[in-house]
Amino acid sequence: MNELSWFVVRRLFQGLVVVLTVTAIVFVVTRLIGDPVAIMLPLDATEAQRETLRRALGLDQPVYLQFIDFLRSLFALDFGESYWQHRPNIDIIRERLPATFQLVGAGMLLAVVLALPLGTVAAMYPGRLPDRITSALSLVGLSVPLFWLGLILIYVFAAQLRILPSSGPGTFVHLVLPAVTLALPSAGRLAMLVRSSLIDELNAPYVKTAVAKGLPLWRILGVHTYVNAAVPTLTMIGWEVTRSLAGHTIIVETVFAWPGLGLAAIQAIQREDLLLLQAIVFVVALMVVVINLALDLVYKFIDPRISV
Amino acid sequence: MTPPVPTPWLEVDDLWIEFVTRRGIVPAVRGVSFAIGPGESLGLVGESGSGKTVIAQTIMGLLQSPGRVKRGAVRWQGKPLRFGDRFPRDDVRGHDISIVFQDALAALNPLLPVGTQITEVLTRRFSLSPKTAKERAVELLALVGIPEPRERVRNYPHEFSGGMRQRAMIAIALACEPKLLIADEPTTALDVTIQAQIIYLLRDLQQRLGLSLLFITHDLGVIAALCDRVAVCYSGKIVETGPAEQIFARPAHPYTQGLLQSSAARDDGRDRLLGIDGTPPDLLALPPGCAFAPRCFRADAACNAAVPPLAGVGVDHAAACIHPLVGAEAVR
Repeated sequence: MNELSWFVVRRLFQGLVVVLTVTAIVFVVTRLIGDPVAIMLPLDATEAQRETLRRALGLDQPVYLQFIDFLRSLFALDFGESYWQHRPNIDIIRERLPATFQLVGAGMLLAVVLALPLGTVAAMYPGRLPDRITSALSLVGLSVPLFWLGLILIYVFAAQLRILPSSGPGTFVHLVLPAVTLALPSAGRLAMLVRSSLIDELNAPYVKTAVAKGLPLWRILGVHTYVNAAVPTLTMIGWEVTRSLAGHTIIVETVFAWPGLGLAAIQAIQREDLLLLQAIVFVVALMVVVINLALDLVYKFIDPRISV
Repeated sequence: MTPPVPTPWLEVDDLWIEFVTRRGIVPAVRGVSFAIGPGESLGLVGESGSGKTVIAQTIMGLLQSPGRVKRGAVRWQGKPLRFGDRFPRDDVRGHDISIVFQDALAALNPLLPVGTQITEVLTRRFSLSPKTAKERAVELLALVGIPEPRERVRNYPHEFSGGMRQRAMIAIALACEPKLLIADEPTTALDVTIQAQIIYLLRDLQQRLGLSLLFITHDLGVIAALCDRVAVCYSGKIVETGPAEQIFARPAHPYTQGLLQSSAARDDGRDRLLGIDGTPPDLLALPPGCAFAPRCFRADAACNAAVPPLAGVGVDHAAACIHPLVGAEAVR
């Protein structure tokens, strides 16, 4: 087996450990929150009814057996049945994932498309007017709370100008406001990182070599410095995608009634649907692990010095 | 009797460079002039802070803020070169003049294969097709003595040893087929045996390709091996200039003599290495007269009164000293 396959195998193993840890935490936390039997049954249920349900759910077993059972079903992608919707949780997740992918995909693409040129322009004129303008914009972008930004955008573009729908799924235009809301703070953080990485790289000695070679500016920037700024930038993009999936989408999807996984998570919490919540957390953890593994592979491709 | 002076290719004419710092304006280069003709090699020697690297960077258009050219000109074949642009582009730098830096590991892009860093010059300069450019890159690596060049073009800089990296750096500098090669302390970061190899390589290339060479170093021994002419830099001024063998045999400036005496590359049987007392002056607080006077054993009141100009002390040999060493004094 070559170096790279070993690397992948080792990272997959590490990912497995992460997923197992997350699962264990979720398992413990959901059992701390409350007794599912008490939630599921009406208040006036008899003790015999409670005992029956407890046995049906396997809650009379020792905790370690419950955990093993829990793991076994997770890896069979059996997340149990939703207490709220009375259908398999996996079906709910499958239904909600595309909307979240759309939102995160569009939002992050927009963030990158905004951040790269802004960060580049700022880096080329550090301390001068273009830098000050973009830095101020970035600071505003990254400081704005998501829910507030969402509401302001709805107020301006849906309520006042009436050019975009305020909420709900549907056509491409429905995606615009939620994607912009998700993108702007990320774009602010990314632009600042692109700026500072590029400023560092533009002062690196190899740029002097490139200038001395008489290379055109597009090649110095677009090939020499971008390649070197790529690893920190991709790390940040990965981090933004992760944070979107595991947090920001909950807010944005709630504000815009966007029927994704984040909204499902909020609904599961509101309805005390612990199994669904558990399933969502597991799926998100899995995605985060996959994103990080993919990034590690991309780093190795970009920077051959990174040892495995 | 003297051979006709060839028209110079590179002329540095009364160049003044200063750095604006919080402590004040640092005059790093103060009225330096020299010229390099076709096929000629000039050694610019001086200790750290004498301004030699700043001169090289300015010639290449790489002087960056807070540094600025206060006065003077750099001309290539009579045509003045521009400075001050962050990304200067003209048809001289990277065409007729190229540069080899001291630290090849830093000066090469760590994330691009060495081959790419050569071919990008070739495709730009000669509009070669990618395939031809790659062939030429292999040739260039072979020219600078890199074994198995066909495999090496694909390697990244970190996969090269220190000496090989400097050879690759030289190959990159040669890719544009320059007329003048500036080498800014190309051997300082290397160990002694590798240093010698690089020096021989440069001498060989200079002769084979008819290159002019501006060689910047603090090591007089290296200059002796490579250069026709020497210019000795001290505190941003050239204090002595002349043919290499004359300067080595009969230094006229006490500083040059001190440098020669403190060079380890000596074989005169003396067992003690001499140094120069004191330290180079603070460029922010230069003495009114000769900058070397506070350290000079020959200094008197006249030395501190005015800055001595470069004055002829022999054929094609000048020193900026009121009391130049003459006759029997002028030995190393």
